[in-house]
Amino acid sequence: MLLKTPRLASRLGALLLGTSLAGLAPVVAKAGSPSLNLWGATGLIDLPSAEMQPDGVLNTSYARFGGIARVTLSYQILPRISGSFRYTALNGWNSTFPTTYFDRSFDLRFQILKEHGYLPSLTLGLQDFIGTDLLSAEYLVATKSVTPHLKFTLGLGWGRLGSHGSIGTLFGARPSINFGQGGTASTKQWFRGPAAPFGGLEWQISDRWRFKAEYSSDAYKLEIGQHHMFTRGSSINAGLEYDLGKGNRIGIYELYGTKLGVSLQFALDPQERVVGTIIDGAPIPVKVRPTQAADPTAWSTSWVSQPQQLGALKTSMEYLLKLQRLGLVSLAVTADTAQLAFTNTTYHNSTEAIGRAARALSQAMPASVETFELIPVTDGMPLAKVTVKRSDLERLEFAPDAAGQLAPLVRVTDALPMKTPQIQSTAAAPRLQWSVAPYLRAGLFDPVNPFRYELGVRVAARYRLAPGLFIAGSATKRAIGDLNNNNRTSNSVLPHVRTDYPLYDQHGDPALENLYVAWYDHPLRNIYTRVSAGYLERMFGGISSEVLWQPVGSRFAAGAELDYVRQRDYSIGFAFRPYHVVTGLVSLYYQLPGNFLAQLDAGRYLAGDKGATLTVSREFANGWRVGAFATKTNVSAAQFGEGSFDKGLFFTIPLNWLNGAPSQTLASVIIRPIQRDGGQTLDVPGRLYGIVRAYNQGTLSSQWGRVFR
Amino acid sequence: MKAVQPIKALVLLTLLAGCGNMPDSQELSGTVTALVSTIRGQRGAVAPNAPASDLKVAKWSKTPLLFVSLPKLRGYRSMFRVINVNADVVTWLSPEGADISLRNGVLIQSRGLTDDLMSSQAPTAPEIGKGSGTTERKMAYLNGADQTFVLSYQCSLRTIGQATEIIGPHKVQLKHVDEVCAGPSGSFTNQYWLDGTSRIWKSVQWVSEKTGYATMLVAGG
Repeated sequence: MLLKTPRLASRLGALLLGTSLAGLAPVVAKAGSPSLNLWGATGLIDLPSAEMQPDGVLNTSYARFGGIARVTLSYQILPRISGSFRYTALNGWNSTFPTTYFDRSFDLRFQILKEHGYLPSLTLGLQDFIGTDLLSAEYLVATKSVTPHLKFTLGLGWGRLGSHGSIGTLFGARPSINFGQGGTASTKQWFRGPAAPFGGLEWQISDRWRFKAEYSSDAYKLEIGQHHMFTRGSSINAGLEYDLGKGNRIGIYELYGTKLGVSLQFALDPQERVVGTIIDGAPIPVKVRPTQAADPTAWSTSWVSQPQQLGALKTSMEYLLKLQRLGLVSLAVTADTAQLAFTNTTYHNSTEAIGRAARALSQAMPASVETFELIPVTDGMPLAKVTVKRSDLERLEFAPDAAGQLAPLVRVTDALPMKTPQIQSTAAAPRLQWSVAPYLRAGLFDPVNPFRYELGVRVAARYRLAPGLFIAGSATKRAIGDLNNNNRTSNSVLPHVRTDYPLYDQHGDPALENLYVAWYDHPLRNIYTRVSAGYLERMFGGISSEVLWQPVGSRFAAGAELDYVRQRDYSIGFAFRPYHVVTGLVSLYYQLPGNFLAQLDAGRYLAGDKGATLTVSREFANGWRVGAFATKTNVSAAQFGEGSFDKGLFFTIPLNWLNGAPSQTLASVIIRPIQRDGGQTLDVPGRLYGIVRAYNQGTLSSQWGRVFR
Repeated sequence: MKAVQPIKALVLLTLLAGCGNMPDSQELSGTVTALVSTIRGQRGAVAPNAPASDLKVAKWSKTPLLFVSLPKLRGYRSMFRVINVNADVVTWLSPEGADISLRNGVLIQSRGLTDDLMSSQAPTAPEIGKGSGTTERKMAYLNGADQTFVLSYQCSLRTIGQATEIIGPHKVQLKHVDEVCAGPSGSFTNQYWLDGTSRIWKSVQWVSEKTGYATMLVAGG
């Protein structure tokens, strides 16, 4: 699809830097994964093959030839389904004014058959299946290895891939496309028009070198016929690729008899941390109690009534938890049970925090205490009660498959009702937390300049007024960058709730990103609440309230949010603009088996439009998340503008996956092909579901492997 | 005016590195440092400058010490001390905060040694002390997505020889046994030097793919 207007990517933060550096480290996807073609899809040179990448792998590729440059992100959604998002630059598209044309496209590929015995792999592909027909192609392709080093690919293509050497039209003529505002699937064109065969071979010369040759059925009709970008002297392409290891490659090719092409391919495998593993000190071990017969005084329960004993318990628990980089909130002890409430701002893996807190308890608690109840507390909310028998910890610490054996013996319930603690501590975290750190923001896909950035300094602080009640703020000051050099004016017919972003970038420096008071609570079993008020995000301020129902053992959760917000002035200071709106969403969340998460939101959006959003993502226990969302509201495609409706992709990468240090920080990128005003939600910090589900049973089960880490 | 330049440079460096007491204030610089070390191949050991330990210390030490070297982690060497005892398993802690747990001298777990052995089912010291026969091993690890995977091995024991050795203040008669293990994921050979009571004094034991072998020697006490 041809989309001429720009779109602002949301904060890339440290991620872009991280991933580009990660690309340099030759320690990523599994060795021997199939290579990519110049379209960033698994394949030969300019043609697809029937192979798939290892499950969950994210590939980034750059390819260039004959004035065409393509940057593609490809994701292996499931073992047999992969998808791509591509940004293409066509240099010299217009010969009178030498300009570059930019185009975005999406692909989907389904593997019908996996190579087995005499049978080849067979894949059905849709290239640029949403949009303008410029890059569109459909194909059915088979790939078969004949020796471990040699494989052949043969396919039949339609659209672009049926444009040279056609064998005829199988399913009727390909209708010309009326794409309107674009952004909708071009189903009427699929598999219509002339079909042409294509094919090629791939020869693994050595561990590092690979030779590829192919016969292309792509005529490059528009690029050559209309735009004279290059001449097509031959249908045969050939090239060499060098494997840098772990799915990273470089390639050089001779294309269509006249052009030289290059490609760079980088793979990120969520299941393979860039720096190996999380490097962290050993946990405190389990302290084994003496038997009652051997040491009867250790089992005495007279300590329960002695206040000085409680003081000693408080001191030792504060110390032991601090060693584990956890914080003591409160402790309620009886002769046989200890209920420990603690904070975890260190470990992304919730079970690791629980396991470390339990072992700390084993060091400090008198021998008669047999039951440990562990209550993780975030933003003042107790999120679960994990009950574990002390004797199970003692017995299983060094057992084969210790974590697996412990799992069925542990009970996870709602944190409420909590016991009245005898010990309360303020040592969990300092009241005032602050940071000064660099930030990076990027603006992508503007045809005038497809990559703009801004680098500067962000100052952030947070002050705890009471448990669950805090005031927080963050401000930025630009140092360098050209993000503010965007003079594009919005043509949106809806209230400009997002499309005035160039004005915010121009006038908003320094920017008071947010300054708000937030109050969190867990008032009843399964019910969590939040109220936030103030300058909530760069473009809106006001009051936001939310309630979430999440039974700790349920895959289901439901929530409702009601906000009254006013648009902030372009200076991103204290002033407001006249536009104000009441928005509200009802949300359903479901953790599907296989680590998929589905979220359905319905309600009123920022421009006053009403509709629903569906978000589906795949998530790994280590925090990697890749997903897509689409929002349809009651604005027509014409009112919405280019793209017809709001949609996009998002990637979340845990920082510990990149740097191997224990941390909870997740870097997220949202990629929207185009930013418009329909279907937009408030970007309020700290929504409940993300906080609460960190300790629900589904999350704890998927992360359980680290409980004894 | 000249004094301003270093101050400016210091302010700039501080900002680039990030500072503060929020959990994530230094993560960007931490990430860059970690990635640069990875690219330069410097990362992976428990600590970049583990103190070189000296066997002579053992002569003076009243408490048991475990000398550990990890040749695959850039020749890491350190001296571990007992931190905990759970039944027949002793956990030894390094000055850098990594630990190794041995059941009567047989490696059961590691923590903080890069690619850790999370748990295992291993032969006992008396079984190894026999110096012949076959055993079965199951070793559990975490993958990059924090999921447990278990590797199984079939092992065979054989006696290599006997020798008298001086370890710290002790002069002991040791039997050298090796354990050759093979499984679908690969193979390794552990070596043990035991006395007549099946006490393991020295050993070379497999930890994991990335960590390789740990060479261990008990002394002191």
